[in-house]
Amino acid sequence: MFDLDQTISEWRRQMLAAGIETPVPLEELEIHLREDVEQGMRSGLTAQAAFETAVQRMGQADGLKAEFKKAGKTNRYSRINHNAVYVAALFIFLITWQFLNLVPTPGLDSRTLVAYFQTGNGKNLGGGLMGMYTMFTGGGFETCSVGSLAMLPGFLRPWAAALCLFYSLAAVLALCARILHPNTGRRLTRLLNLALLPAFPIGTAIGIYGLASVDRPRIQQHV
Amino acid sequence: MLSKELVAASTEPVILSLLSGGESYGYALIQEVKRLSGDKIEWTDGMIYPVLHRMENEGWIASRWGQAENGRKRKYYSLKKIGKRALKGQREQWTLVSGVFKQLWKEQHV
Repeated sequence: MFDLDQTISEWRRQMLAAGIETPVPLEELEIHLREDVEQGMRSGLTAQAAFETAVQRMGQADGLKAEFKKAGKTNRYSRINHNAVYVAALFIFLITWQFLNLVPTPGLDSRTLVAYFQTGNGKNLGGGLMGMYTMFTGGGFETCSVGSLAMLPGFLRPWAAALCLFYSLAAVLALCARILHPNTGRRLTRLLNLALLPAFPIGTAIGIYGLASVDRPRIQQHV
Repeated sequence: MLSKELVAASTEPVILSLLSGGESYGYALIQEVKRLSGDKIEWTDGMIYPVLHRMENEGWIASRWGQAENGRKRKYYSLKKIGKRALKGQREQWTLVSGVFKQLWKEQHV
């Protein structure tokens, strides 16, 4: 005697063994199979014949698995997801950095540096290179924080900060554009990336050179 | 019978067009395509689901679990705004191709 439910659970086992995942794809496939079997029986087939036709129409488990895998890939690497992760990572980086700026380096007397920035030499330089440096470390240099002792050389820091900010801005813009129109968003990202690539090194190089050449004579005066 | 390549290329626009008439589910979509094509277009039934999932990931369609008239669970799909836009683009392209063929074959056969 043909038992439809038992045959279907056997079919389920085969699909599972072939790597079709539960619950979503397999559940959906089973619902489809049952509907097709019912339809076949209504048109006069025996349960067994209806089941066999339905399974044949459904297709091989291996082929289905491959197709679901392809569909899953678009999900995992979908562009919107990718950009959101990118933006989140940048913000986490900036927040961590800011946090490190609040932690003073142990064993150092930060009062000396604070005094330096508030009086004399430091005060004169406040708007210059040192001022810019401390600004881009989020005030970290003034208090001699752990953050200002990070691995990046000082002169790279403004460049890195600007790059992070503008890339996250570009990513956010592209994300918004993509929601409005998928193709335009993709093109916009590429354009923004191309535009940003030369702009920052050149821009900051000019900026730092300008600041450094203003500062130098003043430093020499005091030496 | 439709060639494999043409089936692959037309599946998404066909699904989008069917869903533009309201939400539906896998089995009904397949039956509708069979009916409209006079049983000439035969998809491998199972293959519609990966396509539906991919289209959902692309943001073209949305899905929800619902109940069929017989009380069984069923997954319904419906068209989203981006899907409507995708359909418009697909429609322009297919209309263009079929328009070219129409002209070409009219000239040759009349």
